[in-house]
Amino acid sequence: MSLRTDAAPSADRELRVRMGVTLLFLVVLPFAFVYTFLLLANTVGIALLEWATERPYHGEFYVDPVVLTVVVLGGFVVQYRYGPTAVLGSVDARRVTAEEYPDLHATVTRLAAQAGVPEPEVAVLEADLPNAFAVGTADDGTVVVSTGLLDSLEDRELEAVLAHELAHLGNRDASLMTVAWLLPTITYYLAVVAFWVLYGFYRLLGAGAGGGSRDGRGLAVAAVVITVTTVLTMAVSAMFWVASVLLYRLLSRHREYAADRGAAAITGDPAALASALERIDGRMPEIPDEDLRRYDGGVEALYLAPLEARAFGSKELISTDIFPDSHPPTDERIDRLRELERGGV
Amino acid sequence: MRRRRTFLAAVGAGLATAIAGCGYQAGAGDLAWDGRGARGSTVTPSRSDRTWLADGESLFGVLNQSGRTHDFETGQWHEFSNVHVSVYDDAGDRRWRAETDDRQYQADGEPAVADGSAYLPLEGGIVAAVGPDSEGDDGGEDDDGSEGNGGEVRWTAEVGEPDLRLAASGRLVVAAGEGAVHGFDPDDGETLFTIGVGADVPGVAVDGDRAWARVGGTESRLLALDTDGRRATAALPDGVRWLETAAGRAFVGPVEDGLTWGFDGGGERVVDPEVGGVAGDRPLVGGDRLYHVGRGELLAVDARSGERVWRRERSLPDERVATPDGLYAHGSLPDADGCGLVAIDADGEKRWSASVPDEPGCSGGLFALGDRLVVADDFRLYGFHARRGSRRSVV
Repeated sequence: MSLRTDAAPSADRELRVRMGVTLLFLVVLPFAFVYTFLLLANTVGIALLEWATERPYHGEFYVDPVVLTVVVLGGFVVQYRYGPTAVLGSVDARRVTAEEYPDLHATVTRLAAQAGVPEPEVAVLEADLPNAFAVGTADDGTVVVSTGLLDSLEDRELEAVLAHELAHLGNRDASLMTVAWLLPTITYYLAVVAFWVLYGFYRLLGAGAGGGSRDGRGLAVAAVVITVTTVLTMAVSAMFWVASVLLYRLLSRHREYAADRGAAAITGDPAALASALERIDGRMPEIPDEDLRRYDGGVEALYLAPLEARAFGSKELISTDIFPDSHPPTDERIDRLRELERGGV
Repeated sequence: MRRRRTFLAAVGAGLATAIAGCGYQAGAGDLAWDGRGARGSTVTPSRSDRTWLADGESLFGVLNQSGRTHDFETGQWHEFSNVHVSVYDDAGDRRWRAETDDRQYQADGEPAVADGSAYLPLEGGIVAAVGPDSEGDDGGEDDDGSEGNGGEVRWTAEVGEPDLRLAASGRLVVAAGEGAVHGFDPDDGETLFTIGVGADVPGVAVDGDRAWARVGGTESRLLALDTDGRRATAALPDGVRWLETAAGRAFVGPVEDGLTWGFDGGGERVVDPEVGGVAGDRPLVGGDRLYHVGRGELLAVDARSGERVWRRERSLPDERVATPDGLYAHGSLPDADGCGLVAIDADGEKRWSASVPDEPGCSGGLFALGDRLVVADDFRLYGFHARRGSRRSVV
């Protein structure tokens, strides 16, 4: 059985279209982001500079378009090449051999053959958190599972989860997702840094920094320049963060449905995946916060099931800040799988 | 470990590339530097009477100074009266400076500059050549922290005539007084010729190794002189007020009916450009062009053909300078919302205009040095971009 000939070819086409659109905007957005800053630098920035230095400026800030292209595309290449390793490193996942996890390897090998995809590497992360994800490309992918997942699920459920991750690799959306998180993350942290610079500056002012003999104009200039710069940085970053998250969601939610369908097609057992999702979702509130925070911070959108903020009471998660609602509601996924079960795969 | 190094190298290369490809591209008219001209004399001049001149590569500040100074070697105070010369490059850095001897006279007339040296008409009919130190002192700070001069008085020549008018090139220095024209070798001050003319010489000019002198008196005439003193003479009409050189020719004006005349090295009148009402105003020379400016009009004459290349109805501020690229002017500009700079290209079209900071505002003389326009007032220099700056790029 191959994912290319699964039971939902029209849905596959939709995934392809979404991936194409995502890829297009993935390339366009960084340029738009940089040129928006450039536009602001050449309007507001120059005006601020003239006001602060009390002299006219007749030039312009620039970004070499060729260099920008090299940097953006180079960034994607670096992310594409090293992203999977970085993701594995960020959650302390370790690639394991068939000798260490013979059953797991055997299952992955069998399912990969069924799905018609090259056998991926297998990695395990030591955690109670029951979750799994896939990184890399179809030809050079890695399926990651947690020890919590291995301990929690029955064999058929684990098989369904692994099939779901193999479907991500087969659909090639995992590699796209690996590079797609870059802009939301950059814009998010840029806005955060701008906020803290602004906050810190006014805290310093409040503490009386500068002394009684300070230059009134110098301080006013610093206040205006820092305020305008940071507020604009926050505004633009927020704008592009929203755009990039929407772009992310264009693919991130749909790809889960597609992978669910793919897993059902590979195993012929949609109910097993539905059962696995129920079990994982049910266990989330039991996971210690400390364990959860290890997996927070950028790769959450790759997980089989989201790290729902509600599961941790008042504890906030960076993941849900950067990538809100990256996954479809688990209940809806379960419903769709049950429906698939009723209709027959 | 190797993967991490590779990753870091890739990130580092990306960052370097990003930084290399962005920045601020200065616009034409942007201030590039200022303030360096405040350094100069070893004493504070009591009067702000510094004269600024440029030879296209260097800016010369010539200052008459006098007063009392203390000699630490002898422990005595003594009077001094001399000329101080400071020379700056297009970055505003001082190349060298020099002072004439304390007992020498002050400058008494307009100095001339050429090829990095200044020629001073001193009181008592003395010509002094001041240039960079032959020992190569760069004019910066010495090892002990004191500032070196980097310049010296290279030679002096006594002409004996008051009110000297000077002109110079890299190959010939000419001084004209009340009755004679004197030619000197710019390298060593050797007298090349002395020609009595029996009348006042209100104008001299030098182009390469040829000099021209406009002789007044009852019969106004133009002398063309080479370095051996061989001469040719051409009669001039009454009322000629200026003499200028361009493309190896001498031009005078005004002559009848708004004309100017152009002479070759043999004293032959070869062209007579018609410039209308501005014929009486000394033109600016930029490359092979003569630019006549005044009375709300601006026109360019090709020095070789004598043809008027173009004419525009355009007013320019009073401080102007010409280069082979065209004209620049500094002063009050309505479209710059106050004081500014304006550039006119060699085709007569406005290239750009730009406002300038409150200092220098509308004051100060304008000079062209390489890619910089320098506005010089008595104590400060302001360097502006004459054209759009460059962009950094690794590709």
